[in-house]
Amino acid sequence: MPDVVLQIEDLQKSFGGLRAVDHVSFDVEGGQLLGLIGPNGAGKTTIFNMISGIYRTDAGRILFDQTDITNHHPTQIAKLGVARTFQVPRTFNHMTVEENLMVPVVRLRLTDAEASNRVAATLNAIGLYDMRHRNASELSGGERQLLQFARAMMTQPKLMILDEPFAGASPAIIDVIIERTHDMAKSGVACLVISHDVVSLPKVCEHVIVLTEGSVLTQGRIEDVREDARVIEAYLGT
Amino acid sequence: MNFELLTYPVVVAQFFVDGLGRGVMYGLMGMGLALIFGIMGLINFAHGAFFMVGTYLMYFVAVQLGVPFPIAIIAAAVGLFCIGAVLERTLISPLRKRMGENWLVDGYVMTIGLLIMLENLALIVMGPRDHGIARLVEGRTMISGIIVTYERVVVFVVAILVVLGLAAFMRYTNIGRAIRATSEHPDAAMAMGIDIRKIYTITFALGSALIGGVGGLLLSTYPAFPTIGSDVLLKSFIVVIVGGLGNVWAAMVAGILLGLIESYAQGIAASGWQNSIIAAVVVAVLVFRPAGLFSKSVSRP
Repeated sequence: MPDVVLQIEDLQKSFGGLRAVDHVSFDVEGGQLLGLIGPNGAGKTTIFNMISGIYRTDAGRILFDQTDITNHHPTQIAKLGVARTFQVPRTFNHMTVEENLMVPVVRLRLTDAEASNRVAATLNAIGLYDMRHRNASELSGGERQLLQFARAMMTQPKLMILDEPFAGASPAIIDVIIERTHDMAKSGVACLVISHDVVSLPKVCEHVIVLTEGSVLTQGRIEDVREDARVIEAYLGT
Repeated sequence: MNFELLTYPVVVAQFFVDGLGRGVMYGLMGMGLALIFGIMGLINFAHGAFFMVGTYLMYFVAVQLGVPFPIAIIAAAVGLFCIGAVLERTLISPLRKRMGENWLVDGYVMTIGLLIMLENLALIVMGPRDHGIARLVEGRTMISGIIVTYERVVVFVVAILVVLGLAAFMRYTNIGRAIRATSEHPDAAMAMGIDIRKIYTITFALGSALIGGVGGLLLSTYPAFPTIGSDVLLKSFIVVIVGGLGNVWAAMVAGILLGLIESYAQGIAASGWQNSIIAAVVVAVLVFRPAGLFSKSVSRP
């Protein structure tokens, strides 16, 4: 049985009077591809922000690799092996594509040769090698999604959290992201994916957790969840 | 106004050389301020006071200890790097942690407090008296009727080395890339495992070292005095506003531009007019190019 990489226990978060995340619990195993879906405002990105340390939790625990990382600093969490992408790509637009990938090198303690080998391998894997000298500001929205995905790959994480990785991406880029996500899962990396893309998400994840109004509505195989009347109601209303 | 002077090529060239010499000084003064603002968003009102500390360090190391000037300038820069790092870690970093996203206004007030504290400390310890040197480098030469002092040449060469060195540091080192990443998206940098607290400390220390070294370099022009930094702070603000907030390279270009304007204004108008003309330039930039001459928006290095 694979090891549990991420354990979310009874997580809670409020903004003023709004309960954004309400008693949410789930586990992610090594090599598992798990989707987190739900209508806008369901609390998906808030959960991501708590896992990566950007938001503090109000209550509950987050365990990563048996270590309690609840309310740890984002830098510490990243150093433990959690990588993430952002819904709106946060590429470093004053830098070249290659430099974007070099950013984490300072803390990975790689030699120059190791760093440039890893950068070249990562850029080749996602098909951006020929664009390595271009400024990130010159890339399309989809290419920026790819770039921040590659930047996360550079850190060789144990857990990858992808926030809307297909938003604004062309079908070709989506295919690359899907393939590389599967590759990472095969090598034991746990992947947690938020997506509204009903076509692409099933190609990545077999299992999903459905959130609504901050709570877990249901979870299971994506085909089963799709037919669930409560899920249809949550998305479409009554 | 004596525009007739501009009909003499030698005079025009002399004004140019003088303006260039002044301009690189102003550019050097503004770079540290621009660097700290560009990366941290903090307007360091203690910038001029750091310059003042740099002049005193230079004076002690060069004059009292008799260390050669180049080493004394480096000592002033290293001294301010350490002071900047300690101040960031003990005062600014805890403030940022306590105040969260709203720390900047408190940060401004804190640096104003630092300015007042450092100036008064210098007044108590050193007294209201200049401590300076006559010349950094003796001598001058004449090229086609234009007088060039060796000191100006040295300042110019140092300015070029500083600009190139900083550019290389930012572009080719891992820490430089981490600093640039942090300035653009701190949360994305943290998600890469970059310790932005360390980055802010390094940035503040680096900005302090820049102005400290400049204090040492310009000791003959700006002798050590408790309030010598006030003029430097004003000049630095002008350079940063005209060039573009937070843009280190634009600060140097704007410094040169202002030095040239000042030189020509001083040459053809009565003494004192150069300040009014510079003020008019600043107002014009704020009206027509509020982000600065070389920035489309508030840009960062």
